[in-house]
Amino acid sequence: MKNISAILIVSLFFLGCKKTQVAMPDSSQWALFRDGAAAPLPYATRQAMEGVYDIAGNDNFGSLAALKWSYVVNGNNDTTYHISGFFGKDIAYFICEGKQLNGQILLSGYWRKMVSTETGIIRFTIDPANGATVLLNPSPVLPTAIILDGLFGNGQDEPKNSITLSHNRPLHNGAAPFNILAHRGGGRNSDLLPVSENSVEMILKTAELGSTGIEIDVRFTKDGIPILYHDNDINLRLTQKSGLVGPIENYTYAQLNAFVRLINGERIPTLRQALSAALYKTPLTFIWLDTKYIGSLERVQALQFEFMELATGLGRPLQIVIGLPAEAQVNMFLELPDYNITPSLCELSLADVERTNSMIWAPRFTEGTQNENVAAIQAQGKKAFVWTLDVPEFIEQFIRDGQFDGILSNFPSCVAYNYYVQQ
Amino acid sequence: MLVSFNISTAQQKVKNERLPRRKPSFVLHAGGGMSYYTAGISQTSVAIPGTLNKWSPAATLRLMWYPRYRLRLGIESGIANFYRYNVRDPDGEGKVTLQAVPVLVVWNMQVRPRWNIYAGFGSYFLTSWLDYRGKVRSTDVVLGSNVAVSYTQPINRRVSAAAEIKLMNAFETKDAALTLQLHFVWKVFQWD
Amino acid sequence: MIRITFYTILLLILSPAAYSQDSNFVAKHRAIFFPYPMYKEKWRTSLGFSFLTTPEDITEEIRLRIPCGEFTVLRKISEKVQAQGRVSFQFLQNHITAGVHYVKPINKKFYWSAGNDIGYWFGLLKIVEGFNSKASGWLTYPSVSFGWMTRKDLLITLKAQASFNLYYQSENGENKFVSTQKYYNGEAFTLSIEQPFYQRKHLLLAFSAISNKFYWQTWSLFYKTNRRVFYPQITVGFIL
Repeated sequence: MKNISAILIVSLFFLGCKKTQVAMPDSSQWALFRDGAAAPLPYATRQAMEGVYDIAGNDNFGSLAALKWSYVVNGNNDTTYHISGFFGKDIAYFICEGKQLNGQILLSGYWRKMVSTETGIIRFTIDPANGATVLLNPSPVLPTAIILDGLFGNGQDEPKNSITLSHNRPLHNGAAPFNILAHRGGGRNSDLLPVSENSVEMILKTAELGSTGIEIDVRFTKDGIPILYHDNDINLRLTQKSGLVGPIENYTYAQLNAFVRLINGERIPTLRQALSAALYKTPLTFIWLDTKYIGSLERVQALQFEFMELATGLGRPLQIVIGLPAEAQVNMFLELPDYNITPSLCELSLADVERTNSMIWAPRFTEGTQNENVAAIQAQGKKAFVWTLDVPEFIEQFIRDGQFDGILSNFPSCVAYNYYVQQ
Repeated sequence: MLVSFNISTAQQKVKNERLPRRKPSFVLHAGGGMSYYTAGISQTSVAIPGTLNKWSPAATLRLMWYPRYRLRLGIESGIANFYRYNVRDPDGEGKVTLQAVPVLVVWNMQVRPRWNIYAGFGSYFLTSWLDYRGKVRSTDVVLGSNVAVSYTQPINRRVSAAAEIKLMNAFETKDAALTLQLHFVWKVFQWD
Repeated sequence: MIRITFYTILLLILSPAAYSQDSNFVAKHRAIFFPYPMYKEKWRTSLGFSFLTTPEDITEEIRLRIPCGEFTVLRKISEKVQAQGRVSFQFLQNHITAGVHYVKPINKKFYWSAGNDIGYWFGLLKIVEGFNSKASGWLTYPSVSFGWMTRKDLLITLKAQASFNLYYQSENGENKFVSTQKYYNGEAFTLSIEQPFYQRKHLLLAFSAISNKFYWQTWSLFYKTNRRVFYPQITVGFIL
């Protein structure tokens, strides 16, 4: 018995936390969707499909869904379009690709609940009589009844549970554009997305999750290269085991590039790579550069101006701002040449916003909706964003009762749902 | 008031008891051996796969307080390399060594005559030695623990020799190594 | 729960006639975790602290939270029924439990107990600029303990405790959210050692493996999910 107790003590002492993972289902096995005759959906069809849909046949995802398309550019003349469905229950969403075949519209992809590790395959069909004929017309005439007949399953199981989405109304579109901003490029590693936080791969994925913009964390390597990395140290939360420990600033970019991989296998991106991906490959319109270091901001400012000019040259709306989270960063910012014409976002007081001539005030959500302060800042022609809002009930309250121009969240799909389903 | 009255009553009863005959003492353990890295490290998780060495010399220094009772308390340190690996790519050769120095509070209990178990909790001071397009020495302090089983052979009243098998576990970085060591055990001071 | 119920029934079946009381126990084995009847004593108390290591997913770079003070009181109701109160305090977030436990000897070496505690936690973050948050909640904790008196100076206890969330409330500025959803929150397994240590002072050392969807010490850091999170915890207590 003594030995047993010793083993028990030791076992308890060494009980480790096995890392939870989400096994993303392989949704590419639908024979109909893989049919060689299946063709891409035209732009007009995609646009006409967007909207708020009623859900019937299953209560797994709530009663409403907001459907919206996004894209990612893979290379020259190669763009993938995704339709995302944002649900009101359990921060659930689906992401599908779409095709047409024999007059039908087919959607194939996966669903996920962010509050858990639940995921599975999901498929939809729009029959000709359920709206496909109208949608596939070169100039679809709406409103028309659009019904998506769907099946979904758990994990890699063949989808068998039915779900039906019926078009109810267009997506809410406010008088001023609303910014749905994704934290760390799209979400934290703890949210178990298939790509790592602050990676190029995450930036390419984030629009699928409902984001119109991103917040990314900027640090410098030992040789002065701005990179995307959140924590002070190299650790297992962010990277795979490499034998390197300690502050990331201790290593050169070449050393990090050779020895360190992010948690899902990606390389640590430079800020240039990240901005380039956002500009050329995504529909994102806003980038918030969160400053995670103490030092000169000149290199960041130079990249900011370079990429905003490139965006202007492309006729592409893209705003890049330097985030000022604390007094130290404010002081660094004030030392910049032309700081007063450098787009910035200040997380501190209204007086600091004025001092830095920031175009955006971004308070924490922990002080509430602060409608009076938000109205005051908007009266100056500036904007107000709130961060980092993750509780669905508070997201709903801030959208319903607040006046903010944007919300930063780890769950952009939840913000998207609550914003788009507004009547 | 009621609580303090009852506590004092209980303590009075305790004071009336005779203490165990065992004399308290401080005992120093010092020794060394070999360690083998037992945690997973996939070659694919290292950016550039190369040769990996999981064996290393290991040393331990531990000071234990033996009270009159069964459970003992002490502090422990030591040194071991968790692992080393070499890499080669078009830009040159490189090598990485991850070294660990534990600083742990350790509990110890004798479970059978001459057989002891140890469990420690505290920090591991990790150092990375990187030599690839420049040398870097970088450190971090992480949470960790250890557990050990030892067999002690008395040599005289104050000195013993011990063989010990120990698992070092820097659980924050998921690094672990099994060590086999020989210890010199010296009863430094005894009182009462 | 099925597992806990099974062990409770098993222990009830195995229990022989009440073990004759040991009047010297108060002096020898004043224990908090160990399920021993209170024959002559009326109170047992302990003061100590616990360390919770939090998973990197939740607290990111900060793996060791500040220690939590722990004060526990046992009050005799009858020989085999004890009231138990515990205050866990970190000042900005605190947790109070109170409950009743039935304690029964199996034989000279083995003891068991079963009971339930009701817990209330509250947290306040207003002292730092940018924060105007508070939250609170109610939980209930049914538990069973199994004690083994290995020898006169060493008591080993294994405690299994479930937790159910009953109420959750969170406020940020003028925004408030209340959830009355009741759900199974998780379970904790604790192995404790209690013995005299220095002179006649008794020491309590406990290792807990906690697996919860929500843990009160992390209320300000993350949103409750349906995912379990594992928290190892070490408790050190001095029995007064």
